[in-house]
Formats: sequence, C-alpha cells, structure tokens
Amino acid sequence: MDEIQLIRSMVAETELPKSDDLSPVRERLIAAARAETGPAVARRRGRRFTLVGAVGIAAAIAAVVVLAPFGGPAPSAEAAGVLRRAADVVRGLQEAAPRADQFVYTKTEHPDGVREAWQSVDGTRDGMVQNDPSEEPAWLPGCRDGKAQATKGGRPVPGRFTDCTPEPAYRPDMPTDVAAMLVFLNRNGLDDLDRSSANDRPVNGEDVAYLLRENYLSPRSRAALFEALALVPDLTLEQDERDAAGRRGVKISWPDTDDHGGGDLILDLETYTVLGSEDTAVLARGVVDQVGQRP
Amino acid sequence: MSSPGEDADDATVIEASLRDPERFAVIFDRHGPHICRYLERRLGRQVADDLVAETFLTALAKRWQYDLSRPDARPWLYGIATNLVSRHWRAEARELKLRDRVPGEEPEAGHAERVAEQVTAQAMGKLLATALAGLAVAERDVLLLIAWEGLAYDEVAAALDIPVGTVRSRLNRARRKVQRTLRTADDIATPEEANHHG
Repeated sequence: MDEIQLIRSMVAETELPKSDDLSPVRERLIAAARAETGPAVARRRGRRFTLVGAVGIAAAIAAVVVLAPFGGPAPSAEAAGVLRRAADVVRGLQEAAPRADQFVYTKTEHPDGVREAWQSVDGTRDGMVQNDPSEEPAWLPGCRDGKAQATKGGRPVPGRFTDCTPEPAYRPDMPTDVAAMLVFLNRNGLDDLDRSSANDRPVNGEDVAYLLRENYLSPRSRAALFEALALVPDLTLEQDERDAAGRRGVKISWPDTDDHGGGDLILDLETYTVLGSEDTAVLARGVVDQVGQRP
Repeated sequence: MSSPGEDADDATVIEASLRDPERFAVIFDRHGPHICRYLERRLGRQVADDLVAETFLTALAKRWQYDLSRPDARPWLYGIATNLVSRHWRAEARELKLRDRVPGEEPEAGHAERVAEQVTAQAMGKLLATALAGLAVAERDVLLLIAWEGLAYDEVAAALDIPVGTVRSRLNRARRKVQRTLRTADDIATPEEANHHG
C-alpha cells in the first residue's frame, strides 16, 4: 500500500479549469497591473514589503508627532499605550472563576444576525447555540470519555458518536502573563491548528481579538492578551468609533500582512471592556447554571 | 527593451514585468489553471475562484522580491497559494466554530472532508480525509503539495520557505500518521473493505 498514491487518488477527478473559466480572474490581474502607474510607484510598493518593520517604526514615530494632532488614525505607540492601560485596569478586576458544571453565555451581533450561545465551562456538558431566533437552536454535544453524540443539522443522531476532546469554554490553564501568552498564541494558535509551527511568528491580531471577543477568560488572561496585542506591528488608534451595535469606544486596528488578515477591536474607553469590532458586537457575556438562562 | 518570447522562462518574464506589469499575465497563463485546481482541491471550487485571484494579485505585488535565479515560478506561486489556504482556514475555523459548523458534527473534519465528499466513489475517500484532517497544518501542506501537486522536495522547500530536511521529516511524519489511521481502520473494517489494500 502506498498512501501517497491513495491520497493522490482522492483528487484524481478534479479537472484543470478551462481558460474561459479563468478569464475574469485574468482580467482582474491585468487591471491591477495597469493600475500600477509606473515603475517608481511599483518599486516603492515592493520596498514596503521588505522593509515593513523598519519603515513601520520610523513612520510611527514620525506620525505620532506630525499626524496625531490633526485627527485620523494615530499610530502604534499610542494604540499600544491604550492596550497596556487596558491590561493594567483589567488585571485588577476581581471575578470568580466559573464552575466546571456551569455555562458561558455570550450574545454577539454579527453581520449575519444575532447569536446566543451557551457553552459548557469544561466542555463535557451539552450546550446550545442559537444563530437566528427564527431557527431551531443547534445542540453542542458535550464531550464525555472521548465521545460526543453525533449530530446532523444540529440534532442528535441516535446511537452515533464521534471521537472528541472536550472544548472548554473557560480554560483555567490559560496563560496569565504576556510571555506565556505569546508562546500559547504562537504554538497553539487556535484549536492547535498549527501545532508544529516554530515559535517565531508575529502575533496574529485576529487570534487575540477572537479570544477576547468570543471566549470567557480570567481578568489576568485578558490582561495578557491586551499586552500581546500591543506587540502587533503597525497598530492604529481611533478615539471615537462605534461597534456593530453602534456603541462608542476606542478602536485599535492592525493591517493586513502576508501572514495574517487585518482587523480591529473596539474597547470601552473607561472600563476597557471589549465591545466588539466594526462588524461584530459582544452584547452580553456571563456565566449561568443552565442552558437557556441569561445572566 | 526586448520583449521575452514565449519560450522565455518565468524569471525572465517576471523581470520584464517589473517594467511592464502587464507581462505578468504570461505567468498567470502558464500557472493559473494548476494553482486554481490546487485551491479547488483544498478548499472547493467557490473559494478557489476568489483565492486564485488573490494569489496572483499578491504575486504581482510581490514580484519585486522574486528570486530571479529561479527559472520556474511554480514553487513560489504554490507557496503564496498555500499561505492563503491556511489564512483562509484559520479565519474560517475562528468564525465558523459556532456559526456554520456545529461542533460535534464531524468535529475534526475540514476541507479534506469536503473533498472526500466530492469523490464518494472512492471507498477510501472518507477514511483518508479523516487521516488528513488529523495532521498538523504544516505536515498537511507538505504532504498535499507532494501527493496532489507532484512537487519535488526542493520545490516544496522553496514554496514553504523551509529547509529540504524539514520537508522530508514533515512528509515522513505525515505518512506515518496516515498509515496509522489506515491500519487502525483496517482492524475494524469489514473484510470487503480490508481487501481493497490487502
């Protein structure tokens, strides 16, 4: 048995696309090529890619002095400062850790609607997610003894189980200082997607934002995430922005890079509570005893 | 300014495209279909159409950094495409966790699973997909560039910007893991299925 050949046979039937099918893509490419107004512009663009770190820092320092008083996004130093203050404030909060048998409740607004979710604190209890009030809620089967009830369309399939590892909604073992958090972010990424990668990649702002928005973390872990986010290159700060639900806050943004997508996080300027981002809003978050309960 | 002919290698075309950006269309004509098929195999047709455009727009913007000592641009393009696959996949894992994919429903299955569904005629398809889904991203990238796309070790190394030794070790690890999954399945498979690779 040669597993390489077996793996090849999986896709043996995928045909090469016809050139007609690709002509819209070709048109886009040519349009982009034409949009380069000349070699000088193109060369500058190339240089920006290779020297992004150095240029970024220099531009940031220059722009702090020159741009900030005139409005518009303020660059890295100031954004990082806000995040470090947020870390200091959040670190001092007293919050009781949820019990293993409880559920983390989140209500979030997304471009597609409002979602309510009840996720098991230790990942072993059955939770629920309601993506749309008009639809039936979907069941989130808990993972017990390495097995979870199989579901189809959000409903249990009797007698069928899938292998699993529990996905706790609250992880008591999450790092609580920035150094350990950076190791966690680089090595684990999310869901161990990148287990074998080297621990030398820049912080992915979207991973941090996701953890801050959609998870329930101890105040010290949240503080560590704010500090990790402060290390993302080329952050910008905008003082008076609104999240997806229209609530006012301070917006921290990071640009698209080769490795990571750009994104933003909007914080309440006084409490540094995570409100959401331009297209999402965390409307409510808390710990409850039962599925269906709201804090 | 001489214009490279049809038989000029990729490096020559890319060099010419630094002055004349539209020349870059030649690179697309040569490699676009294969990159598109690779993206389709990994993520399905719909996403492939978007990402093939993104691959070549990224390549156009980054062509200034292209190593002109490499006549064949294929590994470079596969590298850009693979990077976009993992970016797409990370974003999707983040966003779909609760929204479109209900956890517990084939929890470890991903794009490879979807590929398997497209080739239901293959008895091994689902099992292989499960095996692929169990690999680390870096291992899967190496394995699929070799098995699906037929890249050589040094081409994979160039594409992913890793040493050839790392390509070898990731491939070996990936193969061992796949073998283990298939063997485990053998033990519990019906005799008929077991005969497929007896």
